Amino acid sequence: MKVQDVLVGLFFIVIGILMIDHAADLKPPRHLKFGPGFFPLIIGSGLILVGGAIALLGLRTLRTEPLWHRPEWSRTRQGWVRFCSIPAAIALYVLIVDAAGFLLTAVLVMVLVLTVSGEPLRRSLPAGAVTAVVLTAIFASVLHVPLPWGPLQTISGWLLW
Amino acid sequence: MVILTDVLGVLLDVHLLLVIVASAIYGLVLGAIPGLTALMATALLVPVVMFMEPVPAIAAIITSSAMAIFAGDIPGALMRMPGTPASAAYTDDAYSLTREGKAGLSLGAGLFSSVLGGLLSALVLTLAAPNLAELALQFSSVEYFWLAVLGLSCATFVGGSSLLKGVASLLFGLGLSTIGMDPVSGTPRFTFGVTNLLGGLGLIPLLIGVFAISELLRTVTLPPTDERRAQPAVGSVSAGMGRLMWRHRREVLRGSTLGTLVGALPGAGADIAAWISYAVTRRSQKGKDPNALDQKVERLVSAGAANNAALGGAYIPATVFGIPGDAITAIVISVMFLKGLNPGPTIFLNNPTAIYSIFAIFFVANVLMIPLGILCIRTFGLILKVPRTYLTPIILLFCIVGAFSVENTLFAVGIIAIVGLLGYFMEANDIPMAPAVLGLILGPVIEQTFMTSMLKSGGEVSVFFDRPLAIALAVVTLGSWALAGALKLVDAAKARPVLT
Repeated sequence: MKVQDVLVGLFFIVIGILMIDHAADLKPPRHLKFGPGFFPLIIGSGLILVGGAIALLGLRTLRTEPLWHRPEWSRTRQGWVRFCSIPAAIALYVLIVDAAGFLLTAVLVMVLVLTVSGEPLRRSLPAGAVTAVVLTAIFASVLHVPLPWGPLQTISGWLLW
Repeated sequence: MVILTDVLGVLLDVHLLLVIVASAIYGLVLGAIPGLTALMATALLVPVVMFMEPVPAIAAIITSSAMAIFAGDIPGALMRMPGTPASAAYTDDAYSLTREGKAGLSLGAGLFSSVLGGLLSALVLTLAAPNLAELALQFSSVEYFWLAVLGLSCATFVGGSSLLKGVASLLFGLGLSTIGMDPVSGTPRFTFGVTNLLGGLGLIPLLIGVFAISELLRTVTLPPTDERRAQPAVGSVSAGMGRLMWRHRREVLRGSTLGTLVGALPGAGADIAAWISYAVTRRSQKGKDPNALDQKVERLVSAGAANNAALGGAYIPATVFGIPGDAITAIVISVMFLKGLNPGPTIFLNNPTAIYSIFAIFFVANVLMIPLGILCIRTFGLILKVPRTYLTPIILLFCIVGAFSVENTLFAVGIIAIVGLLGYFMEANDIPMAPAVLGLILGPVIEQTFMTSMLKSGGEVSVFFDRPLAIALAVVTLGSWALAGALKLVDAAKARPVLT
């Protein structure tokens, strides 16, 4: 997803303006000469300057380059589905892991990404189950990461030692 | 001579050797799991080493942290997921070698340069510890500021073809580092009422997002032919490494020296050492193709040697003055105090056998890294045999659990998705990600030292130039920026078509 440099420059300018705007509200404590907004103010100003320079240089090729260049994969629906499967799988994990537990959620994440890649359920389901069990053994049992168990709390003793 | 015999006696103790081997395996496993750092490996060891004798306790920490820092290269080279932040500097080079079917070369170069860097820093630690620590002690917040800015200057050299985009990426990273509580007054900034942001954006979730998730986004969109091509075997890790290290001896020596020096400076750790060494080597390659095999290996061995050498360097101020060089040595110092090995100049008089045994353990741990490292690479290399279709969701789950395990919040998991998308779009638009990562790592150091110096001087900018060491560092830093700008202008002038 390549965009013209004028847009890249504008992106940095907008970030810089937002930083300065927020930094202006951060007043220094009474006994200090400089406050929490001083450093972000410098960074924000730098972003505006550099963004402006990128945009100015981009103007040279504005007429010859398209504003927006779509990558090859984005021309098909399947490409979009594959691309979105990664953020969608992470979102799914965040939304349901507390209720469903790690084991079930990890299986779902595996099945989602594998199905999108064209793998049949008869292969993706066992692969997901094995991965989930191995990850639970490594992270929950050995490294004591507090992974949620959800409805499978009763069998947690099988994998925790 | 008496001390040497005593040290050998300590080292030949079977119990100590078993502790070293066990902690080496432990460090390798933890370091190879993305998201788990050498610091975490050390922290998790503390409850165990409390029950050990002083020397085995410190030996366990030294061995596991050295192994973890090397092992961070393995997932970096095989999956573009740096196992520890210390491997982030050269993850792209290591991974691109893997994609070219040279995973063995990439991992072997990383392993052997790590061993050499560790051995050389151990030698410096043993011979020159007091002198180096004295120099580091002369640093005030001003010198640290310049040193950190010098580190940032590296970003301009490690960045891509556009200097402006590199600087923009660097400023963006510095901007992201301001999220959370202000280091001076503790005022929340850019948190928008979100409690999870008070502590800032966690470095590990950001690294996972920037490197691993953005890579997953690219691989899922690859056509099937490219998928098959991207699965080379690891190959031999040790073949020809002696010759390779000899050919790149200058880079190894440079990385080891820089790593030891940077490690000896309190506050600067293995990750900063790796970035600086990487950038210096990249700069020395001016005029050569940065994507050529030899150039990639040069950068890899230089940074690989530096991050492991920094570990030894950090023990210089820790053991001689009791000042931690990084978070790992902070833990080491507390363990030393608890075990009655009070660090400081008197330790060389009161407990010479113990302190020189600790130094000797660095040599043992680094030599042991070769067989155990190869074993670890072989085990981890089996991952490449898994079809990429299956590898993608497995890596994704590792990323998710890795981010969660560091921060213990689902917020960190959400962050990897957002940063991953951002990293994908940045790369697609030729905005280098390395400067942003460097800005994130060095941002808090720069802000803290900058604000401390400004507050100390009452707003007088001259404070940054009123000490000889500060002036020297300022000249080097500003000079490197001016040089970078001038070189870009010369390149642009050369590229301009000549009108006849």
